[in-house]
Amino acid sequence: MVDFSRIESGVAIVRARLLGQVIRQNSSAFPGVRDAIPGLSNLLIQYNPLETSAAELKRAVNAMLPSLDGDDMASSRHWVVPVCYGGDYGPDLDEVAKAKGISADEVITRHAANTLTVAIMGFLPGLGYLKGVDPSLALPRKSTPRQHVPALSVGIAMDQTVIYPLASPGGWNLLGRTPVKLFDPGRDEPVLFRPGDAVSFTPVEAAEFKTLEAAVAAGESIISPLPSGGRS
Amino acid sequence: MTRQFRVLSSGPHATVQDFGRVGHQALGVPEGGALDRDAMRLGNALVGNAEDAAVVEVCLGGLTIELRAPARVALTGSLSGVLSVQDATGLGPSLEVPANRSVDLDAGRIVRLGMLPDSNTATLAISGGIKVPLLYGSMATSPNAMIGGVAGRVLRDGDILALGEDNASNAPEWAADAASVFAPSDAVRVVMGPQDFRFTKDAITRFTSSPFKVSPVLNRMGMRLDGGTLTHIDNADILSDGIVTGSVQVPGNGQPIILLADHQTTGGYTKIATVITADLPKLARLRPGMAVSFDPISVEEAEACAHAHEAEVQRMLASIKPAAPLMDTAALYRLGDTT
Repeated sequence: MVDFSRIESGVAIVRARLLGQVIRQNSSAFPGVRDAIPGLSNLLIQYNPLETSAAELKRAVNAMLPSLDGDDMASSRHWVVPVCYGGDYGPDLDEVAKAKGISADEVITRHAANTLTVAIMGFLPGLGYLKGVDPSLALPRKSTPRQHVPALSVGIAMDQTVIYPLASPGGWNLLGRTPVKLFDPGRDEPVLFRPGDAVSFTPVEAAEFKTLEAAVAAGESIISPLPSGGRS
Repeated sequence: MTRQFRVLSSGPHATVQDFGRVGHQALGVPEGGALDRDAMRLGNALVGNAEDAAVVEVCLGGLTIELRAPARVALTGSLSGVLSVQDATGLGPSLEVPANRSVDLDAGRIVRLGMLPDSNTATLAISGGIKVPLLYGSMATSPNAMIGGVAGRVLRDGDILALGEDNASNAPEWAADAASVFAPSDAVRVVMGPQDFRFTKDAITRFTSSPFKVSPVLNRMGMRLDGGTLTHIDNADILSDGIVTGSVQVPGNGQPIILLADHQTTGGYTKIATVITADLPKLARLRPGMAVSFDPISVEEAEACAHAHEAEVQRMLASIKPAAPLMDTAALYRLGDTT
């Protein structure tokens, strides 16, 4: 595990992701590495002990770290994700509004105003931890997680948003739902988001949501990324 | 014609497995794959498949299939499990096939595995290997992620699965000496960390000094352990980071969970230790109620254990030799029928 926790958290995430990308893409320089998994403050390097050793890997990583420069966002994209807020799609919207002393409409406005960044991915295929939610919406996770969160629910906790790619148990405060498939095994690239991508939300009414949902069911693509290379 | 088999009775939890999806955890895609890789390798070797061919992983037992093509099958990962083979009526006398040997069967034969007597999981390998669509280079089923295998789920009664070409149909039946690899063992070696410093001294002592018990809460994602609470110095929360198969995660309630093949790729709870690679297949054989104790070793020792374990598996694979003929009770009945 390569620890970046002594540097500022926003920088640590990017360093962990960049090192992971370099290691995964340079298998010849890092023989025996199975995978490299970025966390919020570190990088977990998983290796086959029949092919390499921790000592060898440590040498290879230490030799490479000084030249690790820049970020991994050159190839990042900006996704604008339609979300139908409230009602059955967002059962916690009113509770969040009440907890923050603002109207439900104001919660929606603030949630859709910020552009978030896919910090890391995990938990389920295609689930990104999107950082950068308006601090005035910060809340802990629910004290009792739901046993069943419907697929494509949009939830918030702390400074983050997640969209559940699949139905699963989950403890985030659910604001709405998107018709966009974040994970589709039938697609060339099954996972939509990549770490480093930018994501923002655009509110849609229930009728439009249903139209978009039907389009997705018919196999149409309803989302394409805006270029955002070089975004800082 | 496509070679196939049909699931007559799926039992509690049978899935298609191979070595899993390697290298995509940064996208949240779990590795998955066979819980008992040693059993998968031996099974494939016994039926003449490449070692990475897809197999059926059976938890607890209770699987019955019907072969729709001639095939060689083998049960591995158990020492005392038995396959009962019957003709298409399912009523005639059965041929009893012990674990860790292969048997050549005609189309129409029904292969039944009862509840496993020793191991929690076992592998059923079939010549040609199971063929389901690849996702990220693997056919492995991860039911919680709804990917791989048959529609991303456990097998159901009536499922029909395709098999690849049989490359070993003219070879003799084979048997292996698997006793040393599949012998039950409750001693699991671990490397401490990465967050062992978040636990009290008492918790570390408790973890390494006396056994836990495997809880009935056991699936392909994780194995919960009963019998002791591991106290954190402050709390169980960490900044989410990567998980590997064998990570021993301890959430706020202090009850340890060993994370298995279908674990989520990242998590926000402390991990006290990691089970070494060499001992991961052992976990697949532990049953609820069994004891499990943790023996801490260094990273260098763990790497040496991986080499030693691989040498042991290679010895098991090298022990494969032509098997003694099985007692065909059906033929015996026919011979004895002189009236």
